[in-house]
Formats: sequence, C-alpha cells, structure tokens
Amino acid sequence: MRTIPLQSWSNQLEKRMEVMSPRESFSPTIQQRLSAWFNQEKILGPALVAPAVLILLLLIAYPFCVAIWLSLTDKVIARSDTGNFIWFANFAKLFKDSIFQRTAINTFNFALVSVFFKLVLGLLMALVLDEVKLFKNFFRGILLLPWIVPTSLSALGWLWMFDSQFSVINHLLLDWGLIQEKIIWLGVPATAMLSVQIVNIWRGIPFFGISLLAGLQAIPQELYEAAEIDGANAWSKFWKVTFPLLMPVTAVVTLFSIVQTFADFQIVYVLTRGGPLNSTHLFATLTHQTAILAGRLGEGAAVSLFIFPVLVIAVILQLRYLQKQD
Amino acid sequence: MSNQINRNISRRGFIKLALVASVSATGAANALSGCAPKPTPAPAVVATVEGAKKALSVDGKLTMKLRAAFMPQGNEILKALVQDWGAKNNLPVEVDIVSMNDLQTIAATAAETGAGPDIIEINQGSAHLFAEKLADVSDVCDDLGARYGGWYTAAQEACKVDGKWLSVPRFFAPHAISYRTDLFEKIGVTKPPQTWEELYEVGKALQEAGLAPIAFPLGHAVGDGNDFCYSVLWSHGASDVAADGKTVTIDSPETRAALEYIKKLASVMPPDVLSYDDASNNRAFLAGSISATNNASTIWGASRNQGTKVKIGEEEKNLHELTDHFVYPAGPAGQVTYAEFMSSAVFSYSKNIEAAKALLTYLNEREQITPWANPNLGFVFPPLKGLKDDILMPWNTTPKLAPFKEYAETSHLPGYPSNNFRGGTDAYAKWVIVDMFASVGGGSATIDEAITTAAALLADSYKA
Repeated sequence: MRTIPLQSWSNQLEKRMEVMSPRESFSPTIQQRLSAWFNQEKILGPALVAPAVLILLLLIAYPFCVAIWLSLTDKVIARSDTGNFIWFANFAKLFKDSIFQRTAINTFNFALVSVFFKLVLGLLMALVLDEVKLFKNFFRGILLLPWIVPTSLSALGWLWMFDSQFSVINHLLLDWGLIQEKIIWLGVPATAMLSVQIVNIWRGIPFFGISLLAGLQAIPQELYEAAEIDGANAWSKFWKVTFPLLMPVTAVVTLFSIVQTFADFQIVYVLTRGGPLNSTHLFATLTHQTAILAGRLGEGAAVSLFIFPVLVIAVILQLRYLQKQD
Repeated sequence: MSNQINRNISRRGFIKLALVASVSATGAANALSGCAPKPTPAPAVVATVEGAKKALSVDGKLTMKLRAAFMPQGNEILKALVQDWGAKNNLPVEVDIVSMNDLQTIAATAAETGAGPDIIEINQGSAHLFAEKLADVSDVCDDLGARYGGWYTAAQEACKVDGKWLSVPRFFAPHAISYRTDLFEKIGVTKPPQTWEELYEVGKALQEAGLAPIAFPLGHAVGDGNDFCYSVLWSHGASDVAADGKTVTIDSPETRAALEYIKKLASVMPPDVLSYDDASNNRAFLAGSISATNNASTIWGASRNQGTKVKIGEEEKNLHELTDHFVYPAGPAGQVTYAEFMSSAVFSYSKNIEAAKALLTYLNEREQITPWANPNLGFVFPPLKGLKDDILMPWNTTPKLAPFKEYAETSHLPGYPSNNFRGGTDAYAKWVIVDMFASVGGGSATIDEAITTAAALLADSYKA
C-alpha cells in the first residue's frame, strides 16, 4: 500500500472538506474514494469496533480459552512430560485440598461482605454528596482518592496501619480506652480477614458513591415534588422514589464490584500473602501461589476458573433484572 | 484554526479523520520497518576470557536479572563488575536488579515461554522446578569448585539435578539470631544459648522480668519464617520426607517434639509473631520492642547505618552497640539449619550460553566475590567453601558477624534429607511447614490436627 505521511492526509482531508462543498464539483481521487467507501455504515461500524474486538479477543478471550485448556491438563511449568489431558482431575483434587476449601470459603466471605458494605456505605456517600453544595467538586474529588491511588501503594499504607507494633489504629483505640491490649490485625485469622475486607471496602466505596451519585442526579426532581405534595417524609421519599429509580444503576455497579472483588489479588498479596494459616487466601492469590510459585500451571488454572461460574451466575441474574427493567 | 476545523468537520468526519490517520500511521510504520534497514545486530565480537580462553560472541546483548541485595552499594558494585566484564570482553551486557518476588515470576514466565533474560537469579530449589529449561553449567561449577575448595552441600542440593549442575550457586543469605546483649545481661545471660531449650529458658526469664520478649516469625515470611521453622524441625531430628523422596515422614515423635517446643516457645513470645513478614521482626527489633529474633545480618546493619537509637532509662544508646548475634541453637539432633539460597541459572533458550557461563565464572571468582560481599555486611555469603576465610569477608573483619560464618556448613534445602528438592520446593511454596508450626504456636490446631493437615499436603507435594 502506498503510504502518505499523516500531515498530508489531514491536509488532503481538509482540502476535501472545502472541495466537497456543494457549490463545486470534483473528480474523485483515491483518498476521496476511500473515504466514500468508509462512509458506508456497514463498513465504518465494524471498522470502528474492530480494534476493540481484536483487543478483547487477544487479551481476554484467548487467555481465557488457554486457561480452560490448562485447567484440564496436568501442565507443570517447564516440564515437557506434562500437559496431558486429564479431564476434571484438577477440579476433583481441589475439592479435597484443605487449602483450597479454606480459600473458597474465604473468597465468598471476602467478596460478599465487602460488596455489601461497599454498597451500603457507597449509597450513603452518594446521598450525602448529593446534599453537599459548598465546595462540591472538592469533596467529590477528595472522596475519589481511595479509588484512584494504585492499590498496591494504598495497601502498603494499610500494612503500616495494621502493623502489630506500630498500628496507628491500635494506638488510637488504646488511647480512647476502647481496647485494653493491642489488636493483632494481620496475625489472627478472624481479624486478618476483617483487615483485608476493610481495605477492600475503603477502596471500593468511591466507585459506588460516584456511580450512584450520577444515578441520583438523573432522578427527575418533579417526582420528589410530587411525593412531597402527597405528604411523603424523607424516609418514604427514599424508599418509594430514590431507591427504585436507583436500582438499575445499583445493579450494574454491584455486578462490576462483585466481579472485581471476587478476583481481588493485590490487597491480600501485600497485606498477608494469604496468611495467617491461609485464612486470607483468595482464588487469585492461591492461583499465583499454585501456578507461579509451585509451578503447577494446570492446577493453578483450575483454581482461577472457580471464579468463573460464580461470575456467570452473577452476570445472568443482573442482565435478567436489567432486561425486566427495560 | 482549530475552531475552523471544528465547525467544518462533523462528528463522523472527525472519527473518520482519526481512523484514517491511525490506519495511515500504522501503515507508514509498517512500511518504514519494511523498507528501512533492520537495525544491524551487534557485530559478533571475538574476545578471550582469562581462564576460559574461548572466543566469545554475543547475539544482541547478554541480559541478566539479579536479586537486589540488602545494601545499595552492594548492588552498585555488582552492576559495575558486570559492566567491567562486558567492557573488558567488548561484549554488550544489560543487567537489571529486581526484587525477589519479581524474579520468581519472571523466571517462571521465561521458563514456560522460552523468552526472557539469558541469566536469571533464582531462589532455593527453583533449578529443580525449571530443570528442563536450564542450560547445563557443570563445567563452570566444576571449575569454580576445583579452584575454591568445593561447594557447600546446600549449594549442591539447590543446583545439582540428576548429577548435572543446572544453576551456578551464587550466595547464601546466612541467618543467625540477632539479640540484645544488654537485655540478656539483665537476666544474667552472658553466654548465648546453645540449644533451643536454653533459648526458651532465656525467653521465659525475659518474660518474667518484664523485658522485651524474644520473637520468632510464624507468619508467611518467605525468608525468616521458613528459615526458623525448617531449622527447628530438622534440628529436632524430624523431616517431612524420607530419604527416598516419596514417603512422607512428618508424623513422627520428632515432629511432635518440635511442635511441643513451638507451643512452649509461643508462650514466651508476643502473639503477633503470627503476622510477622520478613520486615516485621526487623522493625520490632529496631524499635526496641523485642530482644531476639532470627534474621540475616540486616538488623544490625540497618541500625549501624541509620544510627538507630534506643532508650535505656534516661539514656539514648546506639542500638547496634547493644546488638550481637549467635548461631542457630542446636536441637536434639544437633544443629541443622535451613539455607536461604540464591543461584544464577542460564536458560537453555539463550543464544549466549557460552558468554553467560564466562560471566558467571568471572563473577564467582575471589577477585569479584570479595569486593561485592564486603559492603553487604554479611547479607551475602559465597557458597564456595574456600572463600569464607578471605580476610576481607565481613565476618572476618567484623567480630559481631562471626556467627554467620558457620551457617552454610549445617544448612539444607526443603526436600532434605531426600533428593526430591522439586517436591520440597513445592511444599515450601505452599507454606506447609510454616503453617504447621503456626497453627500449633497460635493455638488454632492441636499437634495431631496440624500434623494431619501437613501430611495430606506433603503427600501431594512429594508425589510428583
């Protein structure tokens, strides 16, 4: 193909714009024919979507299919005598594996509790932000911070806050007399899980807050006025107007959050590496441990795929709901 | 001008412009790369290397990824040594210093995909995991071994697979117990404990005196946690696998004795040892809140370099002056320790295997090892037996580092006492031993439960 420098292309196009004005006629050049060809809906549409589809195929669909294939083999890193097709042996084995059982419970606990609190607190944040009129943008900006800061960095900050020796949280709680001795945040299974959940919730609230705020602002003001005329108080306005109208946004945001929370890796990796006693291992961190550190690619892929059915169900439920709304 | 364009170009027009522009730009780039002469590969340089006397050439450049050592100046010296070698031999070399965690992921990816650096530093028994994808470096290791008094057992365990050297041993990060001499003196301990039992007694006395406790990591601390737990296990005469490399032997009276000991020791340690990562015990020691822990020499090194102070009554004293080290205590089976170990592997996909081998030979010679080990203050210990007595090695220049000198002699890799270091590495990656100790130490499992859980996981690790 003959190639023409970018600058000359745009010049040509500019010229064409002038030329194409209805007063003048012209004989089509190659560029003009090309652009006329692109002008067709059936060409332009797919052409515009193609890069995105290509990226999805390459970076999502292909690895996903490879993961499915790997999970059905006994593939071990750097071993050519492995990679044999073994049906569902990896999955069967995982069901019996004590670390995996623990991890499955952890993941559900982690994701469901975190998403619930993110939703509740995020909604609260949206409702409050909706009322804030002074320095509106400043507050919105600052509340987005947890979401914007790279997770691995903020998790390192939390690592210090949960440090058994120097925890600022312990320091405050002791000072206020709320606890008698230091809480060992990351050293005891129950508090370790609580800690990683707290960080995930802290990080996820702004996503809910801002998305729901957008939803709130899309609710027509007249509905509230009508409700007020009918004598509704704040509580029933929320339940009868805000909540139902916010539902579609909430459904989508919750779906995204479930998907992301189930697949979380960084927070646990930085804070506990799955410890103590595997009490904070999630599917993603166990996958890393199994596939990369122990080299069992097949088994690791199987661990990671356990997230998949959960996510499919979540997606189906949500999409059904949205369709019903339409 | 831009307003003009905005007015003249519709939205669709603009998208089209962008699309056409991007298409043409890619086309131009492709065309360029098609016609323009490809960057010529660096001319094959022929040089002689002292000792090897081989003509060396490099395809592109020789790339290596190394683990960041504790002291920044140690890393700088290492980089300079590599560049020096490259300059001397007129070969282009690219060296990257990366963190331990990244190395592991890079190595696994490179081994599996066959693309990555020529040389990579790998930890523990990783050579057994990647065996098929590593170049045979037996000639390098045999040569170095013959010149410098042979290799330590742990180095052979880590790097020798089926009689062949698949990685060149690089360094131990030797461990000892860092302790506060002043606090030990307060309870009348002037001679460091020789056995685990004596260590417990010290811990108990410290606790009774209300002084800073002893603290040994039971969390997922890659270096310190494994080092402590495997050492306690082995020195009690217990092991996770039999010499045949298959039979799991964790359910034994010796393991029970080791776990009983941990239970006892946990009662005189702060409960947060369960959350310790590799940095926690350093921080706690530097803050003066614990009096002894197992570690590389980095606590003392950091306190000396940073001038860390600690309050003794009204006085502020230099922590490093109150800090000393003693060797790991012995158990009923004597002194057996865990090796924290790094080696340098050459991938077999590399087109520069000969050059890589020459570089690794060079880096492990006395003239290069000593200037690198010296500023690392004991964090790196050469795995060649003949080098530890070099007069400039830190443990020979600094009496406080002397306990690190003997660590390599008694140390082993997970998989010991068998030859199945692949299985051992698998169990190590899953934290089986550390978690067994932690569950008993933290009281979340009985000794029987902990052993049953570990046995099931170990059976899987040693099966393959």
